[in-house]
Amino acid sequence: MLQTFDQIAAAGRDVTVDADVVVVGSGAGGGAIAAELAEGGRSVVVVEEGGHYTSKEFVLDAPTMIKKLYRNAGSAPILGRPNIIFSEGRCVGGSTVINGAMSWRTPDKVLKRWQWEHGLDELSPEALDPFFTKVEERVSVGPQDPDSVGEDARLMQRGADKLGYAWIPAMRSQKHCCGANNCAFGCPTDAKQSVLVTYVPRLLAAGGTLFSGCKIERVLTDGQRAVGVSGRFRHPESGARGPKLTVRAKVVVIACGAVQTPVLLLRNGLTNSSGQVGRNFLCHPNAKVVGVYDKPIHAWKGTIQGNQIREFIDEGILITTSMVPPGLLAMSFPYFGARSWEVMQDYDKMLAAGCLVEDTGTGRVGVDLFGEAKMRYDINDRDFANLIRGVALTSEILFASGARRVLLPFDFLPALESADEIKTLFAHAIPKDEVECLTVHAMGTCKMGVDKRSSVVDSHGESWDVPGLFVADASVFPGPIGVNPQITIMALATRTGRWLLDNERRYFAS
Amino acid sequence: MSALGPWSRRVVRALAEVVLPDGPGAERVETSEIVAFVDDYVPRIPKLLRLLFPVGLMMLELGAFVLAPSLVPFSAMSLARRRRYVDGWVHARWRLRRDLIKAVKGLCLLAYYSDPRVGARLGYFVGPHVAQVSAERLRRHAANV
Repeated sequence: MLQTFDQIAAAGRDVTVDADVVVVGSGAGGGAIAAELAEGGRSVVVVEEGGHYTSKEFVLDAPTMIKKLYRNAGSAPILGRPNIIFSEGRCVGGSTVINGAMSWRTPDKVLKRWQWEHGLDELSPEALDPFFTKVEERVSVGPQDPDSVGEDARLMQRGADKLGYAWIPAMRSQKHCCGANNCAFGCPTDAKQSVLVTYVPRLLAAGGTLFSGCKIERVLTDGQRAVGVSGRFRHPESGARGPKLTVRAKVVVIACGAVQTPVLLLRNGLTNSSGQVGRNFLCHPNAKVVGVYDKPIHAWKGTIQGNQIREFIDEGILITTSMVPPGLLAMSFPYFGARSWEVMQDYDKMLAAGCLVEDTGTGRVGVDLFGEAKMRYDINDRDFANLIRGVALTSEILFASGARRVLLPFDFLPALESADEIKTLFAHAIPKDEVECLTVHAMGTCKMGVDKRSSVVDSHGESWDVPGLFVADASVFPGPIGVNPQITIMALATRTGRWLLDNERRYFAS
Repeated sequence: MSALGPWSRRVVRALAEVVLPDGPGAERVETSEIVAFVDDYVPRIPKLLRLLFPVGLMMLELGAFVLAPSLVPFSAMSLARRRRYVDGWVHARWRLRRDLIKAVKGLCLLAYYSDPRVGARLGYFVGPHVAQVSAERLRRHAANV
């Protein structure tokens, strides 16, 4: 049963419900664990802060959808050197509704690192394989239909081939995606298999309950165990206050993402005996590089990412395409007035690519004066050097693919006119403040481990301090993964769900 | 939702006149539409930034007395002077000034270039494209089912 803010507000009464499990958040982690538990026979209530929107309500105006689907209209800053813009979903389905649906298993080298450095021996590729397989089936992971790959991806592929750089076709959670290239604003064709069209229907079909437009403020405990949550319905767009919600449950799962989950736990003073809640903040900083070609390439047509350049993945650099509508591209350039128009005249000849860095440094998520997330992250010298190298390599590929000009994410050096100029990126020390950075991958702020002195949750996501309190999102990653995190989040959440079902007596005996 | 008072709206309008493309062939979008867009956007940003937004606009407005330097505030300056003044903010040594102008300028440009008339001038015809791929997707999915 789906209950929206409007329905609850119309009834005008506070709501109290009982369930086996309450899940806070309906994104990759929350959706996956909720469906797993509901289909396993447990009564499940999911509470989502954002609104419930379907493809019928997805319009082709990016700002309108950003305001509806993104937390803080996509404008949350991670303060540091440089400042990084962080975007995440805030709607039923969470960030899966606004991401590119890129679907990669956790690389084996990452799992090995987690085993060696964090003692997570249970998380071997073999042990996780059934969970990856299940998740991939649930969200229809597969290659794109070839004709839906855009010209931007083809050009990147051509450039990489010329330079002898390895690339792989994108694996995405989609069914016959025909390349609307509107993933970031809600898939208008329902081809993208986000949580909204996969796990949420499964949850509801299995008898689960989903409340949308409700912000959870308290995690309830009986002094020892987690016993529920409480919060208040708020209109997802206007913020208008509605009735209160209390869910009493035997198990509480927090799945609000690696920024909001630590904020909720810190505000409640929970599960922080290690002092690690909010620390170890990882974000895969990335920078955008734009190639300009001689003729129109219509990069806004075709799937958002048709392939990924994997040549430098072992160095922690991932390169791919990511075209956006004119408004979002123009605002990222340093130009305005007549110069902006002059540059944007070539929009149809532009290809936006991005390079992502697997970070070795960490930041911190805390709570600000207003109880909202406060993010701090200073990119370290090593990662910054990698980012510059990533920009240089992306520029090289763009020039090799035929670009006549490359626009850079640096205020002081906005463009390169030829591949020969790439070396200027290394000629002078680039101030970190001068780089335009963004990210959509937050991880690591409630890390799992085997030692409760240095981690927040165990290898199944259960709090060391508060029995019955679980975390099921990217917060639990003990380190960065270097690729898009959706499938890792879903697989770990599914594994946590299976753990709960396999230990019924421990968690659900009344 | 509305976030900006009359004073803030005046500063945003003055900035929009500088930021919006006005070169030959540039599509014209009313600054009132840009101001309305910013007004609708600001209530959704993080609370701390929301509170600092008018403070930043005040710095832009009154900073003209010192930084331009000018005998009148930013919103009362001529368009040519406002352009030079904003350029100074874009390339300022003080990072806070750069960040502030980047944010407000970015919002104005987002509003401008998201206008369908502007998109069409740039060859961005997303509506027909999505209609076409939606039909194709339905055809393939139906065949699959």
